[in-house]
Amino acid sequence: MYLKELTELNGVSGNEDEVREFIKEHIKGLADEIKVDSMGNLLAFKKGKSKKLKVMLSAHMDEVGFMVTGFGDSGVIKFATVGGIDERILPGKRVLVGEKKIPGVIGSKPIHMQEKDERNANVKLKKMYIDIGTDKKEETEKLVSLGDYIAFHSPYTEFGDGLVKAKALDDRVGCAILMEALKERYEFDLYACFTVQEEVGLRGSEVAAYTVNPDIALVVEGTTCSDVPGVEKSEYSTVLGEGAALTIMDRTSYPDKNFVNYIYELAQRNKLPVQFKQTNTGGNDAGKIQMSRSGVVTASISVPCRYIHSPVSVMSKKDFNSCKDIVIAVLKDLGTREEAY
Amino acid sequence: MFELIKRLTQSFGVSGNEEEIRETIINEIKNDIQEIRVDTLGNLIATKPGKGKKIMVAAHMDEIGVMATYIDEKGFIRFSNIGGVSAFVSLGQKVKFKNGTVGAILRG
Repeated sequence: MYLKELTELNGVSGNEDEVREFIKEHIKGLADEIKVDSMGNLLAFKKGKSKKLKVMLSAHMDEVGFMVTGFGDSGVIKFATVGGIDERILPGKRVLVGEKKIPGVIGSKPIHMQEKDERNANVKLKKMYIDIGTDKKEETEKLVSLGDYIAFHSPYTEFGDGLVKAKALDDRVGCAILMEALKERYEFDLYACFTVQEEVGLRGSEVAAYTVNPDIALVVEGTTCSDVPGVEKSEYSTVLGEGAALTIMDRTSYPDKNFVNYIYELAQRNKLPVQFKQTNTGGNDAGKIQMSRSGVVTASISVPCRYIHSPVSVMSKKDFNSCKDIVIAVLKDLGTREEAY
Repeated sequence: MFELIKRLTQSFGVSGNEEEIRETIINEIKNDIQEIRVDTLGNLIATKPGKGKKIMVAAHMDEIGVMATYIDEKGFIRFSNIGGVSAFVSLGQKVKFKNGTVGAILRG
């Protein structure tokens, strides 16, 4: 299990190299063929005993983060977000800048210097900056270049009753589960696809799905979990600790109902905790994969993550394990069936 | 003609759940069309062979609707929209679930 290592690597969308190299290194010997395509997707092929079915597992390697867009006179870095980030959570957060992982903090005007109306409003992204401890623009420019990516800095920490705090749980949980799934051998041809650029528009998976041309695809994700104070029970997307979450519908896909129900029933039969995601907001790679070529039977299964897209995402190890076990159970069961499912 | 419209509009077909409307259409056209197929996503493709260019005419079978997302202790159902549904128009309307259950949309 490589969740700690995976979440501590940086892979802001478009800069997934570190994550890809790590995964590639650790799945050597588990796959029959490993390829990196022109976008940077990592496609691991595992030959099956029969050719009757081609199954694609998909998890994205990228995470939300930032990019360097300019420098202030005092040496601070101006930045833009990469992927969907709630800018209100940013002041005071620790980051690592560029390949050299230069430590920095996100700063903004101190509260005692703010005018009354500024105090009552959220600090805007364009008023924030990253401080890497330099005091001259020239000094910063020696260390950092325009376009360098910036990631949250947040070490993997276990706490509470089997909970994990980390950055990038979305979707290193999926990457970790795919790596585990590759350890088994299946009846059919399996492609484990570690995709790029999900957070900036589901871009890598579109290309990966075209290349693989699967019959069935299962997307493994980290998804929202809103079982927190201030949210009505009826508005919860998922509940932490109640198992892996199956998507009925979201903004990018309406997964294949029969496949979703099959997974749900299989999980229940195997006594693996499973829940349905209650909201239909958000979206993921399933949207692109389902509509690839002449259509693919697709479903999404996710590990619920509180505070997703922040440096302090929280998941339950129980949910992670149920998600992993369900994915492997599905792959094993698919191989034993005459019909696809 | 208007009897056909009646049959089509009375069939259930909220996006992603086009099974009933698809069956209705198949029943309407099956005597005239030899080649009918349903693809992975559920599209119904009817081919009428001819000569020369290939022409595609398209109409979507699905309709807007709502989806149950939560059932509370009292049995009330919370829902979200599938497609653009006006909250103002929905209030006080009768709804029919795919399984035939009938309900009404009320303000909490």
